[in-house]
Amino acid sequence: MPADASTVSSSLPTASAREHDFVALSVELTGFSEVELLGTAIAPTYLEWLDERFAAVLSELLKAWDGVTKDYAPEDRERGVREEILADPKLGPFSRAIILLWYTAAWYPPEGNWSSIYGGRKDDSDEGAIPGAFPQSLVWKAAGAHPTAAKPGGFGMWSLPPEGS
Amino acid sequence: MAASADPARPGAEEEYDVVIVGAGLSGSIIAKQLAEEKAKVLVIEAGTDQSRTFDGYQAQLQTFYDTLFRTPGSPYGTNPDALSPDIPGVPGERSAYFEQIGPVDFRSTYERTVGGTILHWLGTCLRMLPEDFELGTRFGRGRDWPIGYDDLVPDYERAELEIGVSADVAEQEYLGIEFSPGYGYPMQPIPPSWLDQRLGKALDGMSVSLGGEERTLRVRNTPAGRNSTPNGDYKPVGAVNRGPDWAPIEAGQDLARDYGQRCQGNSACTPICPVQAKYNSMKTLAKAADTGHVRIVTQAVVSRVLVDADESHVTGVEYLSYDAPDSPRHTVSIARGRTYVLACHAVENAKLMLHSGIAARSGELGRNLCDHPVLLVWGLMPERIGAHRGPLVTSGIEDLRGGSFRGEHAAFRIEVGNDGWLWPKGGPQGTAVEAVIRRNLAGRRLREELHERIGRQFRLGALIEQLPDRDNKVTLDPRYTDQLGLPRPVVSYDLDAYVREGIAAAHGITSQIFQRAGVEDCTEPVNEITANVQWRGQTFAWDGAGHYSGTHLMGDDPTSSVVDGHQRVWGYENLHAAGPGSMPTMGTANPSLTVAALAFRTATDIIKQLKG
Repeated sequence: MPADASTVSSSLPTASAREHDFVALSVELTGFSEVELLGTAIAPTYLEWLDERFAAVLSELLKAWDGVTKDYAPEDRERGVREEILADPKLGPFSRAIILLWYTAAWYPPEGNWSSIYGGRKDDSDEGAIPGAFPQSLVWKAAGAHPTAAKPGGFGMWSLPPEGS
Repeated sequence: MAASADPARPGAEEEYDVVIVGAGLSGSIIAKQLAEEKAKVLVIEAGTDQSRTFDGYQAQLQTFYDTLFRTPGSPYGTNPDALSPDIPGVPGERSAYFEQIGPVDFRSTYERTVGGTILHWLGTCLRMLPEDFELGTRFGRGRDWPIGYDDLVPDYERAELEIGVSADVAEQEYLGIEFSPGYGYPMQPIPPSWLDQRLGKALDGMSVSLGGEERTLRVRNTPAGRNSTPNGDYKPVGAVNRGPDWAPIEAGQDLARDYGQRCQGNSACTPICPVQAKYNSMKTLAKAADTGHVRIVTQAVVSRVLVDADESHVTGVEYLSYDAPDSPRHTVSIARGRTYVLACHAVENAKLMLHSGIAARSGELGRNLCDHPVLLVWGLMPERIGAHRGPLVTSGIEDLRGGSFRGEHAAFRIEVGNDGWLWPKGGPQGTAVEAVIRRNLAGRRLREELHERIGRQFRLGALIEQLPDRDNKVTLDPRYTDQLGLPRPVVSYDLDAYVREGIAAAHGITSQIFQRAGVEDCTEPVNEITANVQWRGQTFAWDGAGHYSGTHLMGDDPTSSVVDGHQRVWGYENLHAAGPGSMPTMGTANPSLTVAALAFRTATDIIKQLKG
């Protein structure tokens, strides 16, 4: 079937605090709104995947995010994320990998020698697509397109100017 | 390993009118045509029949989703009992099959599975030019075909009907291509992409010079084997969903029947159309099965063609039926028919005949292997043009497919890619990685940048004509075998001066196109995904087109060709070798439509033979 068949998040009203924080941070990291990210219904899959491998680092990241929300005014959040997270030697590469996880539905191991220093369950052998997640990858939506072989626009839509032009 | 079958054992053999090896484009068409004449047909397919059912087909789609770096073979995977080629050097590719001895790697693949390579084809349905059939006479280059364009017109028409081609006749009349009076394609053209329209606005009427000839370029709609809006009474064929032995699934359960009757714009033609709006050979195979005269056997690798003592008559084919792709366990059987067709793609046909020690007289078997080396250039249009929406290609520049310059260098056609930088860069994921890791973008700025940049990405691919060269060849070497003990092909390949000069000429034209359309050129001639080639101090990025020809080329002289103009193997009264391997040259046309036309021509020949 057209590949939109990911299960709907089973627990939206009762989503865990951890999932809530993960999505809130992801809004800041990806530039997609909470509604858009929840609409993918893929956050629980990513969270579970990360927790199996990087639970401690993820906790540290979410704690840093909590700090940003407390220490920076809403209009300064972007700067806060950059200072406290993206520029941090441990959290920066990890958060960039999370951005790419959202955008590509695949795990690109944190850059540099991050894995050998900070570990995780495994190292680069975890690189690759997250099973079943591809149709939810955001890079296509950012581009005004649709994921290859999923969520097609319908006959002839390619003749029209792209969305947002 | 299983014991050998005893050919003399009663009951171990099956008798048919026609035995066809390969359930791809050629095999399916020939099976259907013969079965409609009530011939008893056996089709023997090396691969699995996973694509036969809707669920099996969708499982391939799922495999594709879960593959990080996509190639034409991604959905179809590795079958150790019927290996398919990989693209050398591409990350995550399937197991190697060819033994490549160069000097240049052959970079095109094919699929050994029910449906064949037409599963991953793009769908382009260009006819060859009349002059393509007469290269030797007209330009002193390559070879003439034993038949001309006019001979093939009725079969082109049959092929276009069977595939269900969407195109407009008036737009396809150029460089000598003529259509029968009153002829119309089955379906209206696929609508042009926004990129086609914007590029056309910039380019149409552009004048270029090639070999001293002035040519006017235009962006022209590409005839497509994908469902559009039907003309007249034509009824588009949607997705295939078949039960055991290809029986139709009971009414009410055949969910797929009305699915894929029109392209939805899934932007994944190669390697897999999720809805089967793109033609595939299962559609023809299902029609063949509906006659009740065709038996299709899968997971059965034909290992030898058996001939009689004076080697003029085929007496049977031996095949190995394996239990499961991962296991070498198999049984050996022999199928017998009045006549035989090898239709398992260029390299497999040659491999099978070489391994059987037949068709050796001309010395051309396995030789003259060609592809369309594709010059790739990529860049950013001045505005967002909506990459990654709709069929991967909906237009091309065809005005340089022919001309007197072919005495000096290769002709070419230029494909306009709606697929952004998918081919040379592996898709927009690479752009995202670069933006996040190297350009330190995140949040809204990241999203805005990707919106702008990916939306402007496009590529051109110039398909360069290649001429038959005896040293570009498939050979066998007992050192290289698969797990069934059958040979893995040894491939020698090179790009000669004629091709390289053509690549340079095409690059001159694509540069002018970029200049005229204001395209920011982002081409990296040396990169991690494509190959590169040098010529006269310049380096160009190129890749294989997936187009094979020449391994058992046709001619009108048994001493210099392997098959005749009906694809009958010289020297054997009851053996045809059908498919792209029969084509002495391809010109610049993507070969599938011509392969289909030749299959109809061969079917007519066999019907005549059986009735005679």
